[in-house]
Amino acid sequence: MAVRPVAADAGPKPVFKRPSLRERIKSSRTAWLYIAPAALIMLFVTLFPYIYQLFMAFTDYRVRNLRFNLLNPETWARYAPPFVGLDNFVRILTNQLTIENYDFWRLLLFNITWTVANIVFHVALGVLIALVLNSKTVLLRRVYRALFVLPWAMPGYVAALTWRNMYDDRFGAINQLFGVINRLIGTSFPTDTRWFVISEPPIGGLLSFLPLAFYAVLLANIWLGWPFMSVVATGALQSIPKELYEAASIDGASGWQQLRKVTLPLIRPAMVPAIMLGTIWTFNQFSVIYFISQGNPFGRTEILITQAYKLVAEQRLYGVAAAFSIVVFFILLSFTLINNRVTRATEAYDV
Amino acid sequence: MSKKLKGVLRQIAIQLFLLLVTAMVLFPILWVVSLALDPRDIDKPLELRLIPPGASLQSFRKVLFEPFNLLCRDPSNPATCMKFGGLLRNSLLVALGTSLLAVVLGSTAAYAFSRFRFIGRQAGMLFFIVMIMLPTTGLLAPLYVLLSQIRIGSEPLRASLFGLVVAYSSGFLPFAIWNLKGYFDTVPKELEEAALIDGASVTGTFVKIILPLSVPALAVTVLNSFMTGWTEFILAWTFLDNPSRFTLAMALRSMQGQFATPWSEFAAMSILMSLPIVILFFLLQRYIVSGLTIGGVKG
Amino acid sequence: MASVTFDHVTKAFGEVIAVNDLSLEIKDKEFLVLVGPSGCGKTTALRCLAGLEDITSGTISIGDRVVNDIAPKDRDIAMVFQSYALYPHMTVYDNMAFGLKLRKVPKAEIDQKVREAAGLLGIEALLNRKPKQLSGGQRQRVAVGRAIVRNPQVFLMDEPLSNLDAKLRVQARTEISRLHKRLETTFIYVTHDQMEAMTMGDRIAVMKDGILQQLDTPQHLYDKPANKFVAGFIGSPAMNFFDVTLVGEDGELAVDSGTFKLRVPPQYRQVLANHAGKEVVMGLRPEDIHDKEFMPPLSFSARLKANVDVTELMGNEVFVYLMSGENSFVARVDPRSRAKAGMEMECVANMENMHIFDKQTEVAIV
Repeated sequence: MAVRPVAADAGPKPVFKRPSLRERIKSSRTAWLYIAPAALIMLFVTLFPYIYQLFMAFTDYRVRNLRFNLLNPETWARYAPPFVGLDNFVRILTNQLTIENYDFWRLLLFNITWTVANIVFHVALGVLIALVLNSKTVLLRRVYRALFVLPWAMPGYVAALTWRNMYDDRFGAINQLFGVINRLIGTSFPTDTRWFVISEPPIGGLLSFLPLAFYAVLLANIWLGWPFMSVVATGALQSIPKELYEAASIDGASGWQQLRKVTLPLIRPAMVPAIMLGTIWTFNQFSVIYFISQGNPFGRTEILITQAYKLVAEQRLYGVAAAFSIVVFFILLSFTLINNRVTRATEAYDV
Repeated sequence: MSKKLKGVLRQIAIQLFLLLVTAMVLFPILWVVSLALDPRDIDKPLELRLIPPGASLQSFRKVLFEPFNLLCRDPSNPATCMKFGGLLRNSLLVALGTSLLAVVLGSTAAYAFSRFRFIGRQAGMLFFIVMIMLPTTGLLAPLYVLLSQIRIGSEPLRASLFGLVVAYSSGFLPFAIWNLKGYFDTVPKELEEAALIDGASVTGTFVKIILPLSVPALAVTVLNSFMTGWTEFILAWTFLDNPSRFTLAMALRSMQGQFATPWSEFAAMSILMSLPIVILFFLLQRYIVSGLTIGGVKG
Repeated sequence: MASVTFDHVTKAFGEVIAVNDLSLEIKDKEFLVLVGPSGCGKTTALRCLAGLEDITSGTISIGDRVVNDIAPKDRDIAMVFQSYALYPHMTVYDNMAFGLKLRKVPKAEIDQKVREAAGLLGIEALLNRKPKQLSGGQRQRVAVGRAIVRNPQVFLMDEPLSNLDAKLRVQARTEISRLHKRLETTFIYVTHDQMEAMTMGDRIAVMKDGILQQLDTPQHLYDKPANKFVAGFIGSPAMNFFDVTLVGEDGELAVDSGTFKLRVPPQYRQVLANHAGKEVVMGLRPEDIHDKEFMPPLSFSARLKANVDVTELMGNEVFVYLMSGENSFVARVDPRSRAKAGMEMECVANMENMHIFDKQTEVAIV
C-alpha cells in the first residue's frame, strides 16, 4: 500500500491566481443573459428618464421645453431649457418658489410627523389586536382575522377615494355618524364639520402646526395600515414555541411579565423589517394625502411626494419638480442608511 | 371570583373590543355597499342606513351597461362614450400585461443576482436600491417626452396601453427584483446543486426548482404589479389621449366631481373595482406575508 | 463503473486554499472514504469532483476522461448531500424520477427503475409523500434512492449520515456498505467520523488543512499511521501521546518521560539509534496499556506506574484515565481490574506497538 508520509502542516503553497478578465467575462455571460431583458427595459424606461431628470434639475424646464428633443438638433436652439445651475435647489430649500403656501421645512416636518404618527398607531394597534386574537379561547377568531385584513386587501386608491367621500361635509358618512351619535345619546357634536377647510388646530401648543385635516387623514391611513402590521405580528406570535411560556410561568412570570419579557422581544425580529417597509410606504403615501386632503388647508397637510406631483401637474415647473425629487431621494437615502443600522443591530434571535 | 366566571367576563370584554374594531373596519365598506344598493340613484345621501329602503342593484346595472358620459371622444354623442366592458378590457390588459412583464423579467434578473457572481453585480444591486428610493413623480415629464418620441405605427407609444404596461412594469421592477432576489437567496444552494447533478441545465434548475419554491415572493410580485396596473391613475390620466383606451381607475376618478358626485354609481364602481383585488388577495394571502418579509428586507 | 483520479488538484477560494495539491487514485468499484476534521477540504474535494466547484489547478479524471470542463450533469455521477437536498415541492417518487425525466428516459422505464430502487431501500410505501412528511432516516434513504436510480459511474456521498441519531447511523452504515457490494460501483464517501471511515472504506484518505495525510486501508492506517495527526485522528479513544527523550543505556534504548522510563524493543533500535538523545513524541494506543494483574502474554513489554484519575466501566472493558507527571493518558483494561480513582496502578505497555514521531515534523519514525 502506498504510504506517503506527510508532515501534518507542511506542503507547498501554490500561487493563488485570480481568474483572468476573460474568464470572468465568460462566467458573467450567463448572468447577463438573465438580466438583459429587465435591464433593457429599465435602462430605457426608468434609468434614462432618471438621468434626464437629473439634467432637468439644473435647468429652468417649463412647458415649452417639452418640445425639446435631444435627437433632433433643430429643437435645440428653440426649445433647449436654460441652464440655471443649483438655482432650483436653492429656491426649494430657501422657500423661494412662486407657489402658494410653500415652505420646504414645514413640509419635511409634517412628512416626518405624519410617518411617525402612522407607524406608532399601525404597530400598536396591529400588535394589540394580534395579541388578543392569539388567545385560543377567543370565540370567532377566524372570522375576525378574515374581516380584519379587508382594509389591506382593498386597493388603496379606491379606499382613499372612499374616505375622501366619507369626509364630505354635507353628504359624508363621518358627519352623519356624529348626527346618529347625537340622536342616540343626546350629545351635540357638530355635524357639518368642514374637515379640510378648518385651519384652527384642534390641539394647541407643540402640535399647533397640525390642522384638523391631519387627524382626518391620519385616521384614514390608520384604517388602511394597521392590518398589515397585525398580520405580520400574528405570524411572529404563532412561531413562538409554547415551551417558552411554560418555562416563563414556571419561573414565576406573570402574564404581563411574559408579554414584556417573552412575547415582545421575540416578535421584534419580524416586526423590524415590517416597520421599515411600512415607514417607506407611509413616507411616500401618495394616494391618501393626494385624494383625501389634497394638501388642504393651505398646503398644511401636503407631504413631499404630493408636493412634487403638484409641481409637475399643476404648476408645470418641471425643472423645479426634478430638483425636488432629487432632494426627496436624499432624504429617503439617509433615512434608509439609518434604518440599516437599526436592523443590523436587531438581528433575529435564534429560537 | 371563580375561575370560570373570570373566563366568561374576560371573553365578554374581548368580544366587545373585537366588535368595536370590526365596526370601525367595516364602517367605510358598509357605507359604500349601502350607497351602491340605494335604488334612488341619489346624489345627496343625507342619512346613514345599512340597507336603504327598496335596495336594488340598479346602480350596478347603470355602471355596468350605461355609457360614462365623461369619457367620450365626442361629448355630444353618447355612442362614442366608454362603457364598463371596454374599460374593464383595458384595465385587464394593462394589469395582466404589467404583472406578466414584472414576473418574467423580475424573476430572471433576480435569479442572476441571487445565484451568479458576475461583473457588475454590486453596481446592479446598488442601482436597484437607488431606484426603489427615487420618487417616481418627477419622472412624469421625462417619461412623457421619451415615450412620445417612440412611435408605433401612427401614434406614440405614450398613448398606447402597451406604453403604460412598459412604464408600470419598469417602475415596479426594482422592487420586484430586490424582493425576489431576497427570497431566492433563502432557497438552499444544495437543492440547485442536486438538480445540476441530476442533469438539469441552469435554466432547468431555475424553472423547476427555484420558481416552484418561491411561490410566496412570486405571489407578492403578481399581486402588487397587478394592483399597480389596475389602480394606477396618474400616468394613465397624463399619457392616454383616446378615451377608447381609458381604464376603470380613470373612470372612478372621473366620478369624483368637484361639486357633484354620483354617489351610488361611485359606490358601485368602487365595489366592482375592489372585488377582483380582494379575491386575488384572499387567494394569495397565505403567501403574502412571508413573500414580503422574507425577501423584501433581508435581501 | 470507473476509476477516479485527482492529479495535483488545488482549489483556492480567494486567499484560502481549501484543497492543496491533492493527488489521489480511486480504483474502479472501490469504496473510498475521505475523512478529516471539519474544514480539512474533504467536502471541497468531493464538490470539485462533482463539478460544483471549478478547480484552480490540476486535473480530475473519471475513467479516461478529464472532466475539468465538463458540466456536473455530464460527468455521470450521483451525489447524496449532507442535508439530503430533497426537492421540497416534489413527492418522493418525483424526487427520484427527476434525473431520469431530465434525461428523457421513457416513462415506463422510469417507473420501473424508481420502484426497483425504492424496493431495494424499503421505501415503496413512501413514494407519494413529500419530504416534509418523512423522518430523518427516511429522507436519507430517499436521497440515496435518488442517486441510485440513475445508475451512475461514481457515487459521491457527503456526510450522508451526520443528521441521523446514533442508532440509525450504525444501521445506515451497514446498509450503505451492502449497497456498495450490490451495485458494484465506485463510491466516494466523505465523513468527519473516523468510525464510519474505518468500518465502511476499502481505503481511507485522511486529510487535514487541504493536504492529503495518508491514503491506506483501514488496518494499515490504524497500525502504521504516517504521522502524529493520523495516529491521533484514527481510533477511539484516541492514541496517547507522551513527550519523551530517547536515551541510550548499555547498548539498549529507552524512552524517558521524566517520571517513567520504558525500554524500546530490539527491532526498533536500529532506526531509532540516530535519534538518541533527542526529544520525540511517543504514541501508545489505549489497548496497548494493560493492568499488570490482567495482562495478556506479551513478547516485549515495559512497566510503569501512574495515578488513577477516573475510571469508566464500559461492560466488557474499563477505560482508566491516568496521570504520570505531566502526561495524562488512557488505558483500556480488563473489566476485572481493581483500579479506583485516587489509587496508584501498575501498568504494562506493549512496546511492540509503540509509535515514535519526530517532535518538529510529526512524521512517524517508527
